[in-house]
Amino acid sequence: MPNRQYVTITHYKEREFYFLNHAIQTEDGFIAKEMEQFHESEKEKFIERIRLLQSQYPHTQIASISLATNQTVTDKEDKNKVSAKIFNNNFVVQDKMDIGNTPTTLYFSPFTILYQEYKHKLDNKLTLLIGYFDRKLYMMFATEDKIHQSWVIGTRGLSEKQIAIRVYKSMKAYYKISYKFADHIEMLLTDDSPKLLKVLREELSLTILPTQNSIHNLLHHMAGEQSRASSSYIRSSLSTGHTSIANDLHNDYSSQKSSGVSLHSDTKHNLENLKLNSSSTGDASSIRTDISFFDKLKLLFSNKESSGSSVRSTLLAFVPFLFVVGMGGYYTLEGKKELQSMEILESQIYAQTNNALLATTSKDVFLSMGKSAELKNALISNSKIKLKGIVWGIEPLRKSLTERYPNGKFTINPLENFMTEFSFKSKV
Amino acid sequence: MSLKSGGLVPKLLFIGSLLLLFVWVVPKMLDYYQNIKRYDNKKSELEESYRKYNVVNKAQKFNLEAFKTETESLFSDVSIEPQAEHQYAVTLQVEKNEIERINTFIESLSLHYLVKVKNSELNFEEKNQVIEVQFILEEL
Repeated sequence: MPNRQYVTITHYKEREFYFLNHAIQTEDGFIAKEMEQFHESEKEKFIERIRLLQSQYPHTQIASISLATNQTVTDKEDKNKVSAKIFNNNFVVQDKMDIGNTPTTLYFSPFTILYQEYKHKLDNKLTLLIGYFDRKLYMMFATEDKIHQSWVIGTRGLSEKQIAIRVYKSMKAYYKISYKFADHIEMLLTDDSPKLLKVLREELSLTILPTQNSIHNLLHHMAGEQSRASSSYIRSSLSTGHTSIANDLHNDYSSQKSSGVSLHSDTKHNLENLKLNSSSTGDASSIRTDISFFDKLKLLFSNKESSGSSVRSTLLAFVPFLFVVGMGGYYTLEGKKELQSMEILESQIYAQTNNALLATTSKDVFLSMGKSAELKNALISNSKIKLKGIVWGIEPLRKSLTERYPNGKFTINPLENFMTEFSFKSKV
Repeated sequence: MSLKSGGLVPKLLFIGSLLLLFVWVVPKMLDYYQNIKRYDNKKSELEESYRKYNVVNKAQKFNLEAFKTETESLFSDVSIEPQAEHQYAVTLQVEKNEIERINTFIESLSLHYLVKVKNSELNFEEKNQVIEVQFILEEL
């Protein structure tokens, strides 16, 4: 009689696809059927398929998972948020529940699933439990009596080695706040990623024995037993408009109870404390601690030691820069001064050389004229000479001048008073 | 603290520092020390001229009054007229048989004052048995 069977329908959304599965629960476990996949554009078809399964099997639970990253594990329940109890005084809390209008009666956190998988391995030593769901690392440090710290780290787009480094940094970050390293690591993979495991083993130098399972199987397991499901699903303590999932669950449980399924049939191996919506108020200080810790974690993953050290390294990097600029400025200014001094010196030397040459030319001209002529006017420079005067001995003067300035032009002009005027032009 | 672990700004500053060092600072340093060497050589050359003309004091910046006083002690008639900026028209008179004094004056002029004879040009004219020399002085 298939229609009397207890069936768990599981679904979750990863990126743009809905993944749907159902399993028939038996006393020896569940028998999962073939997984179905729907694109988000086929959402109506996806919902119709769930409704069809519900009609085929009257005793069903529809289980899904919260893959939100804003989940934290605290030791106090926050009435303003949605929460799920893990055990004792440990709760998973997230801001809101968004199931995207898909039929869901049980909604689980990866943290509760993780705890269910490994609770029997916990003891008084610190264990780091890692769940790899939808490319996110759900991590929590736990002992048998308490979950000490938790956080979620996205790894989409990262290589296996980068994921391993983030795990290692998380351990370091936890050490900074508690001065304890995890003695042991357990890892639950929902993706088959042997390379990630290999890299994690190499990077963390720890023996990690991973458990690989699909999200569907984990959900079938969580929803397979009423007491386990009821103590672990995420409940909303918000207004009635937001508690439809919890109400649905209770309705389902009521109907199941009437059909002979015992809600509290087996409590030995389950988390049975059902005082979930107690009147205890949220502890703001513990939440603040988490936020503060996340801030620290973000700083750690932002590849900077800290904002302070970043400022310090920037300031330190200015030292050689300023030194180089200072040196460059000094030599530029000194170079300019040196060039100015050099220009004055060179112009003085140039002037002195020209003056000496001019004096020499002048001496030569007067020596050439000697007593053969009497000067009337002359222009003497370093490039040319022009002479005019009275000549007493024409030939000696011509000879003397043309010997010194062979290309010169010597002319004579007899005057009325029986004297002779000469002129001489030449380039020097 | 290693550069590798530093942020973008320290890395950029470090690369900028290296670039500035090799593209700007080192060439400036080399230029500076080469200019110092050149300056020393030129200075030696000038000092040689001072020794040659027995000039003890180094050349001073041109001062009209000082120049006029000194020139009047050497020549009979001296006239100095300021012209354009930093230029002066100088007129000296000397006896015909003492023309050599003009040459001596000119050849060591730039060792006494930071001046030069414009275009290295002298104009001579005979006036009543004396030679009048005109030239233009230009400050360096």
